[in-house]
Amino acid sequence: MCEKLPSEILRHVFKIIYENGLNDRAEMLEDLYTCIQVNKRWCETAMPILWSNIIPSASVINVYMSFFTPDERNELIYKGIPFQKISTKSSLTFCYPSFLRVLNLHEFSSAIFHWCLQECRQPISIQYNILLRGLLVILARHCKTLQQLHLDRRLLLDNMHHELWLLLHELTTRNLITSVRKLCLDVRKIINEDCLRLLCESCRHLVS
Amino acid sequence: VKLTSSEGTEFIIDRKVAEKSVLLKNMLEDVGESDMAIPLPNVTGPILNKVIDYCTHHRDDPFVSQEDDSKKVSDDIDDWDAEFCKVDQGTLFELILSANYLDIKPLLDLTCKTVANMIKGKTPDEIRKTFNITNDFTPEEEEHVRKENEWCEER
Repeated sequence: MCEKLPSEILRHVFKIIYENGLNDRAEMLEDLYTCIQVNKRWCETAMPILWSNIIPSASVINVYMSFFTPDERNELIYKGIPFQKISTKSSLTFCYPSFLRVLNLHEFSSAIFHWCLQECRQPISIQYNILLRGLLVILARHCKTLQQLHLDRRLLLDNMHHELWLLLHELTTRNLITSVRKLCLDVRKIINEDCLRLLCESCRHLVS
Repeated sequence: VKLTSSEGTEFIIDRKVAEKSVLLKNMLEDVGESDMAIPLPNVTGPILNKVIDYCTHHRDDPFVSQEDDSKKVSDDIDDWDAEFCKVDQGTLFELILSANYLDIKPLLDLTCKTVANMIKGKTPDEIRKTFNITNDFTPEEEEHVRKENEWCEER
C-alpha cells in the first residue's frame, strides 16, 4: 500500500520525524535508522535527511574518512593518523558527505576531537588540526549545497575561532560555505578582522 | 463554487472553504466568477467529501504560506484532527495524495504526521508489515547500510 506514496511524500514524512525529533535526537535517529532498513526506496529517501546534520560521534568521522583519496591517506598516515579501521570510498553505499546541509562547527570539531582521543596517541592537537582540515576539504569536495553554518555556542567565548580560521583561510575549504543561506554566530565574539572579512566575502547568499 | 469528483459527483462549497486549496484558489483567481464546475479527476467522491470536511472545519485558520515551509511542523495534533485521521490506511494515503494534488499544506502536514506516528518506535520488520512493503535489499546490501549507519544507535 505504501508503495503508492510518491518519494516526495515519503521525504515529507521523514522530515517530520527528523524535525520533531530534534529535541530527543537519540529517539529520532533510531526511527530514521529503522526507516533506512525497510527497503531500497525508503533507504534512498531517508538517507539524505539522516546525514543532513553532523552528529558529534566518532563513528561518523570513520565514515567521512573513507572519502580520502589514496594519496591523501598516505600523507595522513605519514603524519600519524591511523587508518586501520577506515574502509574505502568504493565500498560505501552512499556519498554521505554530499548530504550535509547544516554544519555546526562546534559539533563537527568535537566529533573529530573524540575520534582523535580514541584513535591517536596523546598529545592529539597536531592530529586534530590535520584531520579537521582534511575533513573540511572532503566536505568542500562533495557537498555543494550546504545551507546553514552554525558557529555560535553560548558557552564558548570565541565562535570557535581557531576552527573558523581553518575553514576560512584556504580557498578550497572556503568554497564549502559559499552556498550557505543561514549563518548563526555572535558578531561580538569575532575578534579577528580577517575572519570577519573572509566570512562576509564567502557567504554571499545569506537570507536575512 | 462547484467541484466534480472523479466519478462525476458534484459538490457545492463556499469559496472560502475552496480557497484552503492553493490549486483551487489560483484557478478561481484565473477564472473569476463562474458557474462552471471544476473537475477534479484525481480525487474520488468519498475522499473529496473528507477533504471538504477538513477545509470547512479549518476555514478560519490563518493561511500558512509556502515560504514558511522551513518552519517545523508542530508535534501535536488536536482532538478534531486526530479523530479526522482515524481512517483505514488506504483512505489515509488517498487523503495525502489529494492534499498534495490540491495543495493544502496543513492537511498534507497533518496526514504525513499521522504516517510519521505510525512509523515511530517500530522495527523495520514491523514497518514492512504495517505498510505491506517488500524488502528488496540483498542481505549484503542491508548489512552494509546498517553498518555504515550504526552510529545512530549510539547513546
